[in-house]
Amino acid sequence: MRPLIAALERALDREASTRPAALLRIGLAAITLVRFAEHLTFRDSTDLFRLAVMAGFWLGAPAMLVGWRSQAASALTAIAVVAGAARLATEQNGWNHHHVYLLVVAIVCVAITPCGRSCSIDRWRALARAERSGAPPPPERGLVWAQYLIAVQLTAVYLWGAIDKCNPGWLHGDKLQAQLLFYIFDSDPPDLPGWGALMAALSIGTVALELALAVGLWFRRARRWLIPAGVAFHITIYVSLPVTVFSALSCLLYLAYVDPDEVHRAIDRLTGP
Amino acid sequence: MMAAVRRRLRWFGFLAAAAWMLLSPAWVQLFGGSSGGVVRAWQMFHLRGAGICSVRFDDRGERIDRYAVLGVDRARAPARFRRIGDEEQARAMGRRLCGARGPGADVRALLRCGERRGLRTILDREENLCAR
Repeated sequence: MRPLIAALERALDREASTRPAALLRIGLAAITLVRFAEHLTFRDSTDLFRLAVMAGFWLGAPAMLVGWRSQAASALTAIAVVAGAARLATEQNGWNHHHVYLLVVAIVCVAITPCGRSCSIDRWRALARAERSGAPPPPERGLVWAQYLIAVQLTAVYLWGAIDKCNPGWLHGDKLQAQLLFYIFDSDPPDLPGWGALMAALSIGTVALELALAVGLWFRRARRWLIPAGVAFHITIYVSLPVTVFSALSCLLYLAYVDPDEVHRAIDRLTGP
Repeated sequence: MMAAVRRRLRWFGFLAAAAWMLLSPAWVQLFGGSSGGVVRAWQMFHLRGAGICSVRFDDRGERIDRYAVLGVDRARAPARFRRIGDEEQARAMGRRLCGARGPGADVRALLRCGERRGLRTILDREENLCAR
């Protein structure tokens, strides 16, 4: 128990680089725009509520992307998406789907983190103020505990996704096969020897990988292997099933597991002389 | 003083949110409760794959390519041809194949239809669909 409490203390009271939070903010804003922009236009704003959601979204998401009043913009974006999902979700737009929930949780966590202290207009203005007053540049540091909540949420997605698949229908490969029939092969599965065994192996492999991702992404050594495996897994899902932004979102959220100062140093190394 | 309060709030917020994220899906997945629109159980793609069947026709053990036998281009085939959704549609397709293969054909079908938890076998090649 003591090591866990010590780890929690390190995570919750720690001030660290805000660059990962900024990268998450930019990525989440881009994904949010890709996912919702086409549905939030004057064409679709047929009543006052829709107009309010549209206004909140178009004020929040672009400001979140460029980092203008970053935390407030992130909060406004989250509110607009939650309001839209609560009242305007339909079978067609899929606004109540899992990926929208995950997206909102991540945006809320980013809104709690000082995500404007790096890579943002907020940062630009802070540097200009410091230059004018002759003060040193403000540090790109802050409390990053909410960033770890994103990682907790993604762990829950993998963990409960894997537990849900621990049933005979999935583990025998039948459920995966039914989904591939539905989206790719129609009623004629490929005439391949061992097709059924391949489906079973892929299904069991999926559960094993999800469990590995749920636990292993918390450990630095395992991340080296699990992040590429997870990215490949999500690309495979994307090209096989209609998951919209879920794949890109999950891959982006891997950033939340990485030590913020490590990310900071990596960016320094990439951009340095 | 304020720093201590803020720290406590931070700890409480983190632990409450993390506990909710990690434990609330158990309510639906392990205890069979309803999500009530509040709990996210991460049961993904449950309904996908239902309503379509996997069908394999054969004549005396030799697999029949129904597209080739009936002269249908797969890329242009209508959805009602490509997607067989139940036993009745599979039997109708079987009868068309019987007609195309001529007298003496012995067309059988392995039909498995998608449900919430996987595929259920409906026809297991036990019947010659040309017999009637």
